[in-house]
Amino acid sequence: MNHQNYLAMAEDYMLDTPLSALWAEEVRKKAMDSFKKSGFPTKSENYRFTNIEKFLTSMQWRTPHKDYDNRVIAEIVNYQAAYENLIVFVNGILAQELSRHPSIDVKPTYSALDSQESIWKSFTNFSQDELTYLHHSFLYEGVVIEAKKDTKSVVKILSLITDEGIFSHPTILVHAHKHSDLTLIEEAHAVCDKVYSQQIFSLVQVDAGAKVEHIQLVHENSTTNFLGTTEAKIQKDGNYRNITLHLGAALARKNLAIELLESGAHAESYALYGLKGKEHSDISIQILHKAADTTSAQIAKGILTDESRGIFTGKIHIFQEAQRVNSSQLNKNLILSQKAQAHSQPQLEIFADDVKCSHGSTTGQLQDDELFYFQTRGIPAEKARTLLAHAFGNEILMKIENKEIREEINTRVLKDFEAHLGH
Amino acid sequence: MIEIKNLHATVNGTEILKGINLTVKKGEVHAIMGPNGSGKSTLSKIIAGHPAYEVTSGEILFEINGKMKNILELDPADRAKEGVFLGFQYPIEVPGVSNFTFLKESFNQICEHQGAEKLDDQAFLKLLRSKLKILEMNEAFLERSVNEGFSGGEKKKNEILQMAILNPRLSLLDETDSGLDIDALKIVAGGVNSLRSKFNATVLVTHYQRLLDYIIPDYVHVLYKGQIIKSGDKSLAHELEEKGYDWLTGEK
Repeated sequence: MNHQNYLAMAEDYMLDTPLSALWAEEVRKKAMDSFKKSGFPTKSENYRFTNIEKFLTSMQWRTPHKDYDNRVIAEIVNYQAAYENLIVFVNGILAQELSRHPSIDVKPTYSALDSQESIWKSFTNFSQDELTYLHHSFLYEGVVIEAKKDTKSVVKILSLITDEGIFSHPTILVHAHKHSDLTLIEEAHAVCDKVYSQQIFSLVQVDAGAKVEHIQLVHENSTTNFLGTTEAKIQKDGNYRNITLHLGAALARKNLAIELLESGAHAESYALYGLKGKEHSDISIQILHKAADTTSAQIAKGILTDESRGIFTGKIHIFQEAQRVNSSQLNKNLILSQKAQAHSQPQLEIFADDVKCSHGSTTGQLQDDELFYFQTRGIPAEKARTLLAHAFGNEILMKIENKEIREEINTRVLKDFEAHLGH
Repeated sequence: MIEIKNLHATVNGTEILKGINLTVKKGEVHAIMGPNGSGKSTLSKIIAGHPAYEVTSGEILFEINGKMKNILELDPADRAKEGVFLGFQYPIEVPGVSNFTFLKESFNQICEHQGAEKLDDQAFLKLLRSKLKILEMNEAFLERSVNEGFSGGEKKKNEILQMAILNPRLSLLDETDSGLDIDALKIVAGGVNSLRSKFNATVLVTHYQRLLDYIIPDYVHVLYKGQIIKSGDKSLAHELEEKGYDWLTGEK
């Protein structure tokens, strides 16, 4: 399926899904025009390690639909017990009957966009990106979440696909008002072994003094594709922490831009990609210090086995007026097989003079001495590898502040590692 | 318990051990001394199964279920399960794995091998507390990453703690006294002594005689250029202390 087919699909979809906000309809039409001209990103520097088209064009895709079977219900029950606020997408469509959000304001994107024009248009980092054109050509589904002033809440957004060939494009627009405290977990995870693709666009506005912990977990089977674009903007003394976890998918591509707009704004970005088979993860993160007295920290870690490929591009951009900025970046990769590959691209663009900025990148293997130490204590090599790889990734998982969420994800990661590294 | 016969070994093509013969029986303590580079550490690593060394001839027979078996084909984890323990000269730091997890995993692997019941966290903690006491170690050690940021003394105590938990039949202690002040040395030696019994054996690899004041050996061997050039009782250690290794090696 080439990009012309995608456009035809988007045009059909638009006929069925009219948006009430005229400006949003305009966004969608412009995106289609742009995508028509650009096609998939093939020449762009941002995508030089990842041929998106190759992953997406191998089959016929279908737009979201509402049918699902009982397997989904079984998956949901566990989450319903654990999360007060749970938003469920099935096959790309907001499943209201499976969702509930008693302590936070959540509305479907298609009807809530009317009042969101100015906030939407303030996010511009990816407005020239080919994948944004693709996504916005299908702009309709999603949710608008408002964390009200001085409130504290935890919200889980679960995106499940149960049908072959679905390509979904939800949008998640989050507004954390002054001094609110929001933990948001977006999770895409496999409930069947079908082939499908998801593209999720997330926009997060962090108002003055607000705090947002944003966990984005991709835990799919190795036949599916995931494209994620996330933008966050942080106002005075706001705090935003992004934790990106790529733990399974044929292709997982992440574009993340975090803008620090006023003094006291603080951003943290952590990423863990644990890959196996022929999985391919490509994470591109920009942190933009646009104001003085802002701080950020970034750590990305990859654990690569079999023939997997992990790409990390981290850019710290410190604008001229952003004096007294403190920023750090670190990328570490652990390679567990001969054929796995890691590419690390740290980029610093510093235009202010009074800044502290550090960066580093390492790629290595497990040390024979470490393995031997474990073995002399009766722990077999396979088990030692699992424990050591988990320990390597644990630094990222430990950044998840909420203990229940941290433990739940940690258990899954350990189980995965035991299944894939224990040989 | 262990019988090493005409053991030759190389690393990267260089011969380090040139025909070692050594027999250690149950209940005995042997000390292997020798100048730096004589092959002392190599010998203990080879017995434990370090993959960097190649055994070119000879055999290591170890008593398993009442029979002497060549263990050269066993991987290091299997040797550990059969009761071989190596206390490291430089214990490895393992960031991200807690001491508790490491000890429990290790203990349960050995329980499983011996057909004994695995212990849950609570029961294992109880066992650990009694061993921590012997080594005058604080319970906070269990939460810390294995050896990460430990002082030299703490690392060595941690080795003996592992030994106490695993209860091996043959303990090879490689330069356990290095980096220890006298107080730590007494505690570590006390730990080793408390674990001695007529069913197990200990081999101390050491450069200096100091440790042997606290753990009294039955036999002392001098290793030089990959061969045992002299064996005797504990008085040999004192003689070496007095006269230096060149008394035996003829070198200055």
